[in-house]
Amino acid sequence: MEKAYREIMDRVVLSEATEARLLQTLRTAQLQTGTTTRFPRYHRLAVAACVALLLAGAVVLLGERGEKESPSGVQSGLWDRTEAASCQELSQLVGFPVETLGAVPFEVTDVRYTAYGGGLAEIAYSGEEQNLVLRKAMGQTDPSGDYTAYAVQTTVEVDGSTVTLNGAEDGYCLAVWQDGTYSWSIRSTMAYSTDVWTEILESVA
Amino acid sequence: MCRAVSETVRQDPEDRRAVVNQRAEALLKTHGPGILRFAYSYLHNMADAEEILQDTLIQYLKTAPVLETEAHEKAWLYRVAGNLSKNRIAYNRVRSADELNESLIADQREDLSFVWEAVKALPLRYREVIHLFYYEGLSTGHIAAILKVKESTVRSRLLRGREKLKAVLKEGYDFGEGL
Repeated sequence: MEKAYREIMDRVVLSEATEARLLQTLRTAQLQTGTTTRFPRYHRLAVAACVALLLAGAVVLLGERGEKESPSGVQSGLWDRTEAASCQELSQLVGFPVETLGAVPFEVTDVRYTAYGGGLAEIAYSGEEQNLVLRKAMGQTDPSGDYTAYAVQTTVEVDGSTVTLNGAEDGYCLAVWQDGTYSWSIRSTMAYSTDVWTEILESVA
Repeated sequence: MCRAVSETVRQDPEDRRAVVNQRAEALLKTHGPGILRFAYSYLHNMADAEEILQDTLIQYLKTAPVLETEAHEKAWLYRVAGNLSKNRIAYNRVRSADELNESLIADQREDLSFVWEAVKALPLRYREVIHLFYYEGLSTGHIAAILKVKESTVRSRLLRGREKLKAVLKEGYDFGEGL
């Protein structure tokens, strides 16, 4: 049966012509990834308000539907996830020590600890209009989940680690670094200067 | 202390798009044939299966999922392809041409055509585990992760799918016993 089924399905092939056509479609597809648009500063509060409104609406809708998925079943990269009550509990869930941020450049109104299947720890610090998300995982792969190809990159050294900052003309919103065993990322909704990032990064402990 | 150690690097929009395009090409090369077959196992039509492959890859490039390993990446892609295929069965008219069966008949492979028709006649929940187990060679645990069901459910569906195929195909086919 297995041999027969394999022989049958081996006949379904991706032809060179189809592959070329699909590749052309993918190359011209309108994707949000990699096409980040920067808004003028005076627009940001309005955008933040809209995002908050959308998020609130989404939470209500998800609550009513009792599910977290889009109609296609896509969870936007979220695999099995477990909420933790504290950083200590989060460390137990992922199986390695997780650091916290001692310096956050806004007034924190909520902190959420989440463990993702596969060993990814996340601490999300939320304020009124902005948030910071710290992620840590085993290995050397960027754990941020942010595949945006930022326009501006630079590196800084903090406590012996080389940290890559990603952003645009007006500042950086993603920091990524590794130490040979673990990899970390911090993603912010607002762009910060290298000085502000320095304070944030030095407070990771 | 913190100090800048490298020159600032600027990337223009063409460079950013090039990164995405390289990713698309790599995904198509690595997973394209498998996703196409998986979609075909649901839809039984090449045009529909090719559209599912295209939509799956676009979904990946748009959502940029957080995936730690290649196994997770494959599972993500197959899950989305499966869900999109099921949506198409539920909400869109599936094209009627089954090119695979036509090629089997044209090549006078009635033996394989008989097997294919038997698999096609299975309920969808059995068909998808049969494909992932027999063609992709995935473990029941991996199949459970893709379909988001319990591993025991996968085992149960696999056993029942086999029983139904045995009833149709009779003797002459080795179904294997291991899970």
